[in-house]
Amino acid sequence: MGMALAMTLGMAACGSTGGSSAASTGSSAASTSTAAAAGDQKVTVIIKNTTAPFFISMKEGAEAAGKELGINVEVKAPTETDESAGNSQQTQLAEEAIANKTSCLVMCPVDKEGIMPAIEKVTEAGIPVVELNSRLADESKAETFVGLENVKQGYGAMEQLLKGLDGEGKILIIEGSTGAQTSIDRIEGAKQAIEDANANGGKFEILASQSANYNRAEALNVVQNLLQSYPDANAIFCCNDEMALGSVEAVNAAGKTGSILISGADANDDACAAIKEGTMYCTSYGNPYMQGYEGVQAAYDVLNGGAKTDFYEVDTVVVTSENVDTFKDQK
Amino acid sequence: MSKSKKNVIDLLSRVLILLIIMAVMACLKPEAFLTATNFSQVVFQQAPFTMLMAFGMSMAIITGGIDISMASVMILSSYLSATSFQQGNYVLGVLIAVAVGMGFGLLSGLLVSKVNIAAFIATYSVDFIALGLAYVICDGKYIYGFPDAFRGLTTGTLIGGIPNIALVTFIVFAVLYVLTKKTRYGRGFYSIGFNPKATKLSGINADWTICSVYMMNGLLAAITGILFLSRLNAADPSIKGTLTMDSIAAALIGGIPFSGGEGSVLNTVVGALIIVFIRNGMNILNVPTTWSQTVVGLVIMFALIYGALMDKVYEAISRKQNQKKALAAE
Amino acid sequence: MKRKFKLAIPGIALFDILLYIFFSFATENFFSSYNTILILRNSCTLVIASLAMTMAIMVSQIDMSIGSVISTAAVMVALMVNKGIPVIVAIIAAVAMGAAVGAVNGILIAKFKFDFWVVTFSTMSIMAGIALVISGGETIGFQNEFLDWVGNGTLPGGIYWVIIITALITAFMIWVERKTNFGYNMFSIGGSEVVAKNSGINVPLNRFKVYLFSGILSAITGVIVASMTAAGGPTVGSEYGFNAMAAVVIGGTPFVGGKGGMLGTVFGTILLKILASGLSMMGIEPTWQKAITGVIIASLIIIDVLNEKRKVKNGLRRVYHDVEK
Repeated sequence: MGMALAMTLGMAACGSTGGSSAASTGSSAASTSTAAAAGDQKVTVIIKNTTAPFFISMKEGAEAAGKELGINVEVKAPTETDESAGNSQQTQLAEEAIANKTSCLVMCPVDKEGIMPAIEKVTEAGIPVVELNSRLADESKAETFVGLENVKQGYGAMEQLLKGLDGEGKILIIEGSTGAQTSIDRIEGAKQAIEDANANGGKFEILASQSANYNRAEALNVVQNLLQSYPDANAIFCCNDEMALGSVEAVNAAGKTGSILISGADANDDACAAIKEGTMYCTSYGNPYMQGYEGVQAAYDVLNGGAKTDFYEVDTVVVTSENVDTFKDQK
Repeated sequence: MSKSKKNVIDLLSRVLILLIIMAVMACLKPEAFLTATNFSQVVFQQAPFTMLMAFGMSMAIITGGIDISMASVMILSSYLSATSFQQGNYVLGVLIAVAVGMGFGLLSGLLVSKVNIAAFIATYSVDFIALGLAYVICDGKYIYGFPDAFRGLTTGTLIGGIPNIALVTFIVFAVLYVLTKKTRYGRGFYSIGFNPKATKLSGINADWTICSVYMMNGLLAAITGILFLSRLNAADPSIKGTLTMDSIAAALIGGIPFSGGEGSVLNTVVGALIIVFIRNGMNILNVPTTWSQTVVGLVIMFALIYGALMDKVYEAISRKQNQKKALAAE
Repeated sequence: MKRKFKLAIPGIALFDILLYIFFSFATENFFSSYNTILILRNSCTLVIASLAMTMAIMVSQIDMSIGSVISTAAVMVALMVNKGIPVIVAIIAAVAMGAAVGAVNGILIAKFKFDFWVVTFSTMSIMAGIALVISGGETIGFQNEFLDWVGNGTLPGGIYWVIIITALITAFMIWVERKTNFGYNMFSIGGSEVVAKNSGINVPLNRFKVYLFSGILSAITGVIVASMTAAGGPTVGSEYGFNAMAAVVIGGTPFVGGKGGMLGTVFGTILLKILASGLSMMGIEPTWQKAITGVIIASLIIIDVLNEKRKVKNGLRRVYHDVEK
């Protein structure tokens, strides 16, 4: 049911650019030597890793879409586990996809700059490219983008956090791995939310911003130390749930549970449990399963007449104690 | 001067380094750094992890080797024992963790002593294997939520307001100190690092001693893993973090020479405190985390140079003293 | 005394061929000129890094800082090219950085006799941090014709220029190894430091040179990595340390050093890349890929270690290592 909803959303979000991308897709589809019959179509999906729950979910979504649409889907990822490494491996995987005569490449780049030479090779070989979850540095090479706006995700989570703060607040920002695009984007959105709230009479300020590398244990130490410098902080915005959960423990250890609101991102099981317990305030669901699914869906569309839109948006849902049990059904 | 006198002075100089670092932090941001809460957090909650791992690293270094497998073994053992702890099966959990830890420790030990592979290669391989296994078994499903009684291991206080985790660390320290300094086993342990050939010739079973050291490290890794489960309230492969680098830095800056055969767990305590306070200071001073790797790397390099300098100074002093004695005897 | 120039094909080349044949049968698209050239091209940067590592391992030591120097060099080039600094100046600056790091390693290890593992581990950490700091944690993209030609340019037949550049560097290193005193000294020191010293070789100077050249080669690798991706990222070098070590040892230069050499390393590197390509094309899960690769590397290393011990036992190879310890 959720998938039907998503497909409708995708089609409903049809923009005027749908026509032009269809035209360019048409020519590249024609120059691809593989048969156009759905059964022969091969889609290669390259994601960042297969160790993080987020990407495991994305892989499952992509494979499920392949089964339902009847096309051959291969999901590949670098063997490195760190989110910001692995560009050279992704480059090799992309080049391999050319050798494997794939029909369409769905790419979730670890490094939006470093992957460009590989992307160029892929498009030169006549294979269309679909961006998934993270945008490429040069988007003109891609047919369409599937995913959510991390900026929007950050905005939504911060907006909710500010609501809970009642007009004024002192916020600590805990960043993800240095240089990770998801982290940069979410913080951009978060800062925008603060600006907007302040323009409307709010009194919110950012006390400090430090990185805990998307890591639960590191976040625990970093937040514990930050609370020493900023004992009057009453909110912590984390770029993912792992760090949010680390912050929860730091706040517990400081005896300040309940007086400091914590937000994360990803909506993983542990975070949802924490929200139910009341130790975490909110998170946002990036719906990785749907992203993977839509990624393949978009590839299918591209191969069969053209992308329906240039942004297959997978909505983020802000998760609080109110919808923590039901948010997965909403999509 | 006598060797033991030299060791005492060296240890005191390291304590001085620690105090200097703390003084610098205190000057820069006293209101955050110089509080009872900060101190108790750093010393009793953050330091134990680095310290326990550093104990293991120190012992490996003293025998002339190194152990870079501890972090991954810690992750694997904590992950495998997590469900038992969650269900309140404490005995089973401890058994699993200890078995995993000591099993991998034995593997490392055998590779180093029997197969004669250089320690850094052997332990790196074990690290690789352990971490790979951890990721395969974990399959992205972290384990969250532990019973309060279990959490009490790190958050609770039994005696006079000191967190239990600090107590555990102190007990470990005491046991290790007695074991290495006051027993026959301890003497064999030091002599291996000092002179491996002579040790083997003197009848001490060097292979078994080396294996036992790495097995002890495995045990320490398992203990640290359990403490992590309790403090973090989750089983999570990402805890590897900077522990390996920090424990090496702690051992070296604490005064344990990499050449082996010297140093004690007392050095490790001081070294671990130095490293943890440096990190604490950087957070408090809002130094971007990108600098932390460079800083710890510089600490290691400084430790090497400082150690060499100190050796030269002691040599010079000893020579002068011997000259005086020779003159006095005439 | 210069050794006779022998270009014997190392035994590891046999493994390369076997593995290549295996994957050609096990997958659909592995066996093609496109894929083969791809494998060669993807081996290039690791080959150069492994040649650097070969020197250190040959003299019974190791250089942990190779990966970090690669990252820093890549970032430096990217930053400078973006600021309008002429490409050639950027490259020279990066290489100078590599030489400086190598020199520091060399002085601390060769002259002051600090442990090679700890010293290179510390320079590794320091340089990795510096790469992060100067890049601000982000990958820096750039546009530059010369570097683009280096990284992605091809000859009419489809052969990449980078393969040719790498081949030239390899030929040079093999020449150094076999035809110069420095090369002979490396073998000698690796075989037995005591004997080498007694026969008049200046061991500290040669050890210093090893780390100096290792730093330079690592920086060159970094420049090429940046060229191939038109970007310099602060963590691009992170896996090179381990992979280079594996390539060298698989290629026939044991950790105790003294034998093997550059040619074997090249085949060792290509073996790793054939393995990576083949496993991936077979559709094997990434976590299992890592596991299988680890097992194969470990097995080859253990075979080599046991082989060495057998030779020592049978008196076929004298080992003086205990004495130095």
